[in-house]
Amino acid sequence: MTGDATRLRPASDASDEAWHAYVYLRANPKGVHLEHWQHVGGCRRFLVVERNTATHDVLSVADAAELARGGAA
Amino acid sequence: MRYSALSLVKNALGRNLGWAPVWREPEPRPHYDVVIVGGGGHGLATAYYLAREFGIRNVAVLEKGYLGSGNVGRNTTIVRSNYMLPGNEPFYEFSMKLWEGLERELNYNVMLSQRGVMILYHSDGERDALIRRGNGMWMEGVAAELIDREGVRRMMPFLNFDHARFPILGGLLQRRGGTARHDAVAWGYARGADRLGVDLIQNCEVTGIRREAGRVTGVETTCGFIGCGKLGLAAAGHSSHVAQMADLSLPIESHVLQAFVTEGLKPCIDHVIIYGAGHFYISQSDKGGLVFGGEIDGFGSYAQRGNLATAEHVMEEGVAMIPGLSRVRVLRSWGGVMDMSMDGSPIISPTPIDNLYLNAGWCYGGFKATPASGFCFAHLIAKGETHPVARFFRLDRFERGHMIDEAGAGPQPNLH
Repeated sequence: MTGDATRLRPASDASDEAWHAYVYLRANPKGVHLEHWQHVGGCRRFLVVERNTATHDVLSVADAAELARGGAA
Repeated sequence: MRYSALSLVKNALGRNLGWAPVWREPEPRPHYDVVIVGGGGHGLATAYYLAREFGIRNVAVLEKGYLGSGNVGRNTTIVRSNYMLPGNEPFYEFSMKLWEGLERELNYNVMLSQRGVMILYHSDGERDALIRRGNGMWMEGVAAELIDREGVRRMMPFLNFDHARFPILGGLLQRRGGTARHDAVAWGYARGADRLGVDLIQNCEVTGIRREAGRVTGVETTCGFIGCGKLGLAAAGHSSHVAQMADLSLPIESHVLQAFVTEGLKPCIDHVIIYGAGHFYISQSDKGGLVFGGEIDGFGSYAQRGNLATAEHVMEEGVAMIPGLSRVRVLRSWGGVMDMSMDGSPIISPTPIDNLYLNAGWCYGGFKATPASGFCFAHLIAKGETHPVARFFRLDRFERGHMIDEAGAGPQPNLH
């Protein structure tokens, strides 16, 4: 697990507040959440996993690279 | 009733029918000077010190379950002050000193056992890191001893000294560290707070924080609206969840940490032992069970249960350190929800909202901090300024660039 996938990297000249929010602040929801995971036991791809933090149910999985390129993985 | 040898004898002669309930179960009043959210160790200690040290007795503690139903009853009961950084060590030493007087202070047996906490090292590099940590402790006036391999062997002959990959070369010992009976800590503070007039309200979940003109006016709860002059949040594990009710986003992720206990054995492990080759810690309870744990599972969770991969990893570490453990049967395992902060250190802080105060981010080190956390949080709420030993634990340290990163892991909450 490498962290919260809902955070989007701000522009390099964005404000200190925007960078503070990106690096440190987390929504940390109790319920459905998007996270980055790496499939280390297999294809080693980075994935965006939709998961319920209260029940551990996995709801959907998408390839992170394809998602970032705008494709429906 | 004040507990004493005399009260024990009297009640024993009276067939133990004379014991009264230890705290009241009051209906909430419409308004309190201070409301604390969270009836765990830290919330109860905060209420106790507010009343005892700072003279604020019109206080309520709101707990969604029963008192002490969260992490204060789910930890591995270790008490120590062997931190390295100047932002941390004075605080944990303050806590250690409060522990040392706690039973007299509370008139309650918290079974503090200063049996010594040993961190093992397995390489020259680890030894150097522990010497650095020990020096950090000495600089704050806390005794630490570097014990060589033969010294460790005399104290703990059952360890796997000749492990091929992680031989045990020695350890750093804090003799004053040890364990305490975790539930008794919650009960002792609850009883103490109740005797000073604090209302402990159980089965009362906070569902909203009402604000007017930028100030908190009270909380919506499952028992109705309760007004307050000041609000303190001490709901570690669920801090983000509660803070969100005041539109605060915190530098915290909630993660699950598992703990384990074995069948009862005759006394065999005299100390708290921490394995340096991974992250594994073990002690023996007074009932005889070996209580141990390892790292957090590593993914966000509010579920109070972990997965088997981590359980297996913890067992492997335990058997690598003490081969004899392979013959012991595990009775139970459980999980607790940790506020993992972005630098691995806690938050006792004012917030952007004037009369809202935050006690959060305890990672998996909250139990040992219980007395000092309560004291410093009460100091902050009562006086509006941070206690000197907790002055580094501010919420705004992240934007100001003053992290207290004991592990040097950066803003990755699952690595602390």
